[in-house]
Amino acid sequence: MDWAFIEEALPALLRGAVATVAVSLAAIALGFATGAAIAAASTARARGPRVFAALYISFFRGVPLLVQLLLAYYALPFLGLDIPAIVAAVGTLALCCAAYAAEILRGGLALVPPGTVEAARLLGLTRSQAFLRIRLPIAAAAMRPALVGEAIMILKASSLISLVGILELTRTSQALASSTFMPLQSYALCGAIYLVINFTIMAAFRDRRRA
Amino acid sequence: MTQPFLLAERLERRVGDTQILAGIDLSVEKGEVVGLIGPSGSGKSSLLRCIAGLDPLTGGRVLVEGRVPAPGDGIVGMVFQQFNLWPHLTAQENVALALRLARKKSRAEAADRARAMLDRVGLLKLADRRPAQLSGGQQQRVAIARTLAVEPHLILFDEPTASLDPELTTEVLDVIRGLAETGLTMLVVSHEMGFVASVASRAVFLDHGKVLVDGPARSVFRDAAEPRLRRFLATYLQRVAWAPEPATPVTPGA
Repeated sequence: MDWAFIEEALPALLRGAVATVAVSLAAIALGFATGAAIAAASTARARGPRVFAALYISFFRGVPLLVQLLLAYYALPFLGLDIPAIVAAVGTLALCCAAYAAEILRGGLALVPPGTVEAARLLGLTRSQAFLRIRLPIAAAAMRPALVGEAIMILKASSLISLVGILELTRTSQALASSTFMPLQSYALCGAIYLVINFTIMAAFRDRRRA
Repeated sequence: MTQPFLLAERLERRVGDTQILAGIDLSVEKGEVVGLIGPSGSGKSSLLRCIAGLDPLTGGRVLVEGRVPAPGDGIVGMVFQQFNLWPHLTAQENVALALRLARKKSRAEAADRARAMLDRVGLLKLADRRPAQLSGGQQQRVAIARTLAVEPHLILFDEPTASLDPELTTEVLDVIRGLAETGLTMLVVSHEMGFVASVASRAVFLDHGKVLVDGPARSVFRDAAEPRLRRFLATYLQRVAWAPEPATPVTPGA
């Protein structure tokens, strides 16, 4: 691989990387928020929300993401919904992310010793204060590795949306490979960029206290 | 007739087929220190949890100062066997949080009061440590400071030393003994019979969810006329191990 190739390829790949990061961030933010709602539904007292959450989680964890993307890509127009491909793609990533995030959140919250919340309530904290100031932070410490892992999974899984025509990092390197006839170099650069992005995420959310 | 400070009437709690509390009658006056003793599963902890409003009753009623206690009202404080400190906060933050959120004190006021409370249990030096960096005895003393800080009218101790070794037990019991002398109203569940006998003004013996004996601590332990109580207390005598003579203090100039 020579420098001339890198110099020529890098601007386009970086534009693709920006798209990948933007799409992934949107999917992760939406996914974690939806995941919180699904987690709440899965621990609801009423049966309806619990059944919905169980079905939701088993569908999005049980069907390959690529198949979900293709379904969204073909099914939505079939249903008469004229949704841009990018929105369908990000939405599918987010819904899939939500299923995993819901399981992580549910498990993390279940790990918090009930006594810590009881102590908070007896000291006069309201229900929501006890949740936000005690239960959630304690759970967050336990969930952090799993949530960071899920964020990284989504960032990597976003390469799949290249198949429905979104011009992100993987799609850009495919185009580069076919226009330069240098597939090995193109994909090596592409992989290196993914690595740098994910390494940045891992470093940013490293547990400093435990190190 | 004036209403007692704490009143439990025909208190019942049943979970599924298990009768945990089978009609408890108990009244406690302000300033009393009541020791609750009895075998495991006799309902001591359940009784405290019902009084605190943590567990629902299935019969009877509990009134503290004439009102039904509920978590969140800050009237009843509780010190738990498992300490239940908040691991993400320092000792000082553990004490200060409820002062800020529930007692609406400013950050500075809450911090000052938290430090004063930690000083009272001898832990001011460790104010910036997190629970994981404290011994069990120190954690329990932080938990006591946290409870005292919000000035509950009644403090429940649920086997506060059950997960501590004898030395740490002593340091925690000394703190509780100090509180008993300040006129706080307290209910103490403990298997430390010597401690209950010396600190409590009154002792209540529970078995199978019922109060079998209720009387002045001295007579409950000395006379132990009730046969079930006699058998229970007798088991403690078998647990006295060989112990070395206390070290003779070195007299200066000898």
